[in-house]
Amino acid sequence: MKTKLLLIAAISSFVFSDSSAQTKPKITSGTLGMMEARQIGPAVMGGRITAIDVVTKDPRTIYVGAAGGGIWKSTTGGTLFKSIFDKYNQSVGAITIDQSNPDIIWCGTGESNMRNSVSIGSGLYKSTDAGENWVKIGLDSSEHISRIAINPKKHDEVYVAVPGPLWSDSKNRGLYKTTDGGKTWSNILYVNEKTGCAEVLINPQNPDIIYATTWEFRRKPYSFSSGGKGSAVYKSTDGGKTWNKLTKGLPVTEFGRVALTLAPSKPDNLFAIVEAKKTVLYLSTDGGASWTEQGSNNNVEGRPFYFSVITVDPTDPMRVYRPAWSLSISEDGGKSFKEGGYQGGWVHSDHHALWINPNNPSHLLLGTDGGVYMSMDKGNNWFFLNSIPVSMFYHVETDDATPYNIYGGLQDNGSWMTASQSIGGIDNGDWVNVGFGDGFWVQPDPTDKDVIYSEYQGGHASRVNKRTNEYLDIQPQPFAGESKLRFNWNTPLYIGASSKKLYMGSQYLHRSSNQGRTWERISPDLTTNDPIKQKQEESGGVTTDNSSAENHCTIFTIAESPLDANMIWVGTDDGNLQLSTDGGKKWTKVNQYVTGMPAQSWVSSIEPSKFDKNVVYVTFENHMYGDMNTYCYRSGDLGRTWKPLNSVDLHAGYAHRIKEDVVNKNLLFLGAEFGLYVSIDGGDSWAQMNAKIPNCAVRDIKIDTKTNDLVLATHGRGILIVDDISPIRQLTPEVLETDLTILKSRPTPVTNGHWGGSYPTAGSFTGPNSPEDCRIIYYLKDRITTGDLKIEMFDKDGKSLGTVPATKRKGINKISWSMRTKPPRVAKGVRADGAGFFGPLVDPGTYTVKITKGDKTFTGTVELVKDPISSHSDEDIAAHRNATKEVYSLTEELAFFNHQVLGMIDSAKSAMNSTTNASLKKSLQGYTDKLEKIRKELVATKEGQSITGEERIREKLSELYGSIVGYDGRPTDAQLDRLKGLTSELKKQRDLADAIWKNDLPKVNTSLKAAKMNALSVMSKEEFDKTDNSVVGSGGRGFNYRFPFTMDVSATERD
Amino acid sequence: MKIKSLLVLVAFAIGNQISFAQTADEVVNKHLEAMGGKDKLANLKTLKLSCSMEIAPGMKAPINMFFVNNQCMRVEVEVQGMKILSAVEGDSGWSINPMSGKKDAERMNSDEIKESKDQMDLTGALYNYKEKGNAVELLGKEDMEGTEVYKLKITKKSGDIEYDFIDATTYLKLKETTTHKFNDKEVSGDVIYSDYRKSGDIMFPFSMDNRQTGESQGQVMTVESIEVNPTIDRSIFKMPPPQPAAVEEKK
Repeated sequence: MKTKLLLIAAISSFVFSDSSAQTKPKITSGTLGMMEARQIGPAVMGGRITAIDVVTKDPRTIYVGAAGGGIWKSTTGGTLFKSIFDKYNQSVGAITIDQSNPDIIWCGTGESNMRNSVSIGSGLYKSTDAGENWVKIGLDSSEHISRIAINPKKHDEVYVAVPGPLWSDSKNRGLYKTTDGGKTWSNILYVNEKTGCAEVLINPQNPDIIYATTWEFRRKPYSFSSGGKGSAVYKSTDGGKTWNKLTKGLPVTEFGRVALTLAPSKPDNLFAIVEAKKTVLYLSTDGGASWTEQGSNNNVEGRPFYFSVITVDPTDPMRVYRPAWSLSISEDGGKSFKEGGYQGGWVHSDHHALWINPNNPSHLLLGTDGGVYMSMDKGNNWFFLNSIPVSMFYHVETDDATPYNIYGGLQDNGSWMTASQSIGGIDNGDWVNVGFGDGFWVQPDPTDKDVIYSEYQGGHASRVNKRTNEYLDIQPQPFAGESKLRFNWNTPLYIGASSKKLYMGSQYLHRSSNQGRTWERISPDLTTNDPIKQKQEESGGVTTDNSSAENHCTIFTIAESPLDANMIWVGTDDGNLQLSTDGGKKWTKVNQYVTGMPAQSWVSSIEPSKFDKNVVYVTFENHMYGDMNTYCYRSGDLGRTWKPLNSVDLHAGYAHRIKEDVVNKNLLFLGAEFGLYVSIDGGDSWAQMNAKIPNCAVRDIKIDTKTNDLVLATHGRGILIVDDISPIRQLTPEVLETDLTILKSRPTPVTNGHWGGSYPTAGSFTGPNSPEDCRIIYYLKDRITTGDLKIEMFDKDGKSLGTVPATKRKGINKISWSMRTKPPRVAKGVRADGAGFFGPLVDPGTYTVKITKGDKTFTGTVELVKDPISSHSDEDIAAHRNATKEVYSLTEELAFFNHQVLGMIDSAKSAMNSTTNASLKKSLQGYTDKLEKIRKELVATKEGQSITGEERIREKLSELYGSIVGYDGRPTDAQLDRLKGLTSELKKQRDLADAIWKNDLPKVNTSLKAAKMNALSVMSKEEFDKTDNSVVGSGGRGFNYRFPFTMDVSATERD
Repeated sequence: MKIKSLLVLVAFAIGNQISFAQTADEVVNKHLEAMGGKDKLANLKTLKLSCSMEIAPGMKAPINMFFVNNQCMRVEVEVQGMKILSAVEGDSGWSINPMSGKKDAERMNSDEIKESKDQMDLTGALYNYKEKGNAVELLGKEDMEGTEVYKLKITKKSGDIEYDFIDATTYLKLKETTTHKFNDKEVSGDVIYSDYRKSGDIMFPFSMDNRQTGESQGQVMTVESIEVNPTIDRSIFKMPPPQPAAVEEKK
């Protein structure tokens, strides 16, 4: 078709018009096509929850914002959540529903719990259809947004509190206001470049009355400062036009962050926790004109920069909730406190969000560092909403078990491991805790399968015995008289790629050959050892906060060459990149050769090449100095000269991890703050991998060498796995230029599957396994919109095994082949026969894929292998194969015989109906009665939807077929005996029918002939085969037979 | 597999790439033009589709569909020699599913009828959308599986939401996502359209990949043949009376 060719030519020239200038074709996210990730959780713990809002009129509709995992929505009261913000910035600072029209949702990105590990936002977003679609609506450079308040009487009037950047000065701080639903904004409360706005409140009874807090704060890589002259509490009575500083009764000295709220039932009652030398709770009963000191406790005082929430009961103006380390509740306006109850079980510490149902103050939702909890009794008992997978990993490791295990440490949730495959899916119960505190590196010992190493913040490493669950503290210790070792908050705990020895870094590099029992110090201080950056005891600002999160001048990265155990690379958090080529005797600093890289940057990852020991890839990151650029470099001469791998394609944010593929040396992966990137040309150009990978921080990357799986540690979406990346390895420039190329996939085990596991848990998250069916993978240069694409499978003898429906998208397509042959034809009955829905599996071997596109054909192969976890001997498999053949052909034989009998009955009945000859009628009746008797032995004939329990040969055979075909190994003797029995039962009926057709049919035909009617004849096998209408059904994919036309919407339940 | 959305056409608009912001109406008009033009769509009265769906290797389930625009539809699926039927005429509908042994027709519930009526609109939600009481919003241009598309949001008179993804080059509809309440649950599904061919001056996709929303592979229905404006016997839409119990059982 001429027009079709024209179209294709036109599209091709359009697509490649700008690549003609370059010689190499570039890949885009679209090229990677269906290289999708599966999210395996865990949701046994959450990540940090920063915002919760609920539709007041329908409290089943809940929005949850995560520090690094986007927005999750439930419409079922919290039993199920769905991610609704995947395409945008994943750090959520504030969510506010417009309760007058709950389809309108505002989301401020960039959380404001200003710890060392916070991400940065990209502005303010608005949805007008309950979160289905979002539009960015301004404040692009805010980086952090802490609160959004909507005028309850004028819903286009919105206030947004912007603390602003954590790591740099900024003019984009302050309180912003729109009066036109977000079209235009004005900054109505600006203090200075160091002071932002942390809180805004509207008096619900008089919305011209606005309260706001300002906050002066700053983080550096080695210190934090909360407080200063800029911090204050303000009030406006004219909608923000003019402001008064509220001071009477509040501390006179400089203070820090203020948690501020008002009592909804009595809005002149204000409560404030003011971070000061003495942090206490204040109450004002006159709308802020004066304040009285109330009480204090651990939670009131606790980490004001991190715990900034205080909430008053909607109906009781003196009942105050203070979520912080834990939940404190006061019933006397903050004079005294009691602890929230935990009778329902443990509740994760560190609380950042609390919602109280205005219409039912017993109903609470609490957001913590470990997820969302719900209480129905004012905070005495809680249950955990365990379907929100927003866990925040730092690092990931795998081992060589089958299936491989995955290990990693999480922000404030310890360290965990799981198997990468689990029957029924990877659910919360599959994850096992292997470390405490903030978890970072976890390393399985390659020489001892019982042992893993995990750690918590500040280098507190343990040797963990998985079998006995014992923990031995193995942190390297200072020598006698030596001042303390400096361990990074996220201390590298690393097993050498070649030596398999255990390394840890303080300012020195430590190495152990005996599982951490003794440590050898194999370097001098490798950092800048800058004393200005080592005053952590003074850190915090007006209140001290020295949690080891600010530890600095430490080793952050260790990497041993996979080709040479003596070649060790070390990177520090203060800009040093050091190399030893003699196992740690001598060290050479090489970062000074890296051009364009700010000197103090963190060395975030080092990747010595697996292909050439002179080659190394390094990422640096400088975001703690306000620089969000992506820095990655390659050296081919052990660090003497460097090539920047940045390209215009990278909009990645600061870089965490670069990973070289294990097979294709031109294939690189880059994990950055805003997602995962891939390069197929050694880093010259990059494309984002975003198929089911949100723009979340990818902190670490691991490639499992047996499965070719790409395993990602995300800081907000748990572990993601891209199954079998081998198709990406095959995307050479030559392949990219082709219209269509069939790509090789990893060999697929042939199996009926593995069953069991636990009951699926209702309302809890379960991550999918890697699919067990065979993947046919092909590359398409362009989407096919006109013209078809046909895919047919062939065995080694060239026999067709049927077609497989194709997908036609641009880039890598992946479709599933069941590895089954055609199902047997089954005897027609009054209900469907399960045996007709699935054919036997094919044998392991090489199969040919033939793809036809227009008049061109393309061929490739797929490899099927014996299931590696199968215990069946070749003899047993042969027995299975033989029995399968037998039960299959017996099923088809029954189908044929039943068809003969039915056909004969129908013909005889129709002859009966077209004659008035009484004796002929009688003769035909006698004949059909005999055949009916046989038919009733062949198939169940009772109609009705009830379970009739009627079993005839078809029903018995169908069950046997399922048992034999559905198991990979030798059938039982009982099954084989049963097969013989059914064979003879069928033969008995066949003999009866043959006798009828031999003896009775000629007589019937003589009578018919006399009546000048057509003779009846028995259908032959050839005729039967011609009737093959290939009609089957399948329960396999949930096809809705009752209402097939609407199958497209039988689909998924949304929440 | 909404029939209405079977309609779209190849517009050879590659030469005049749009460099200016489009309005929803411009996209809708170009799309309708690509389908064959409004006048051709106005003439679409009845439709018969012969389709198949490959369910197991080498096994195809034949599916026949009959439509009278905005009035009736009937779907027949054949499985193991048994016919699964469903039909809607006006405000009533019925179905027969003999798979589990019952031969009598059952009445459809209101959600099922509502859904069928949606599909009986052969010209789709975008054609004469204002007259149909639908609202259309252009959400913008975006990348869909590597192809640039216009994303249209259609809020139907019924309140149901449909998203149409219109190829920014050809103005053919590449994908449709529908969301609505069905039997008290909110359900959503995607249909991916391809293999566009002209029948009776109208472009029809001969391949419809029905997916759960967000999945990258679903079940493909292939159109074998299309008859535009055939004569259709209206009696096929009537609910058949209950069948007498099998004669032989009574004897």
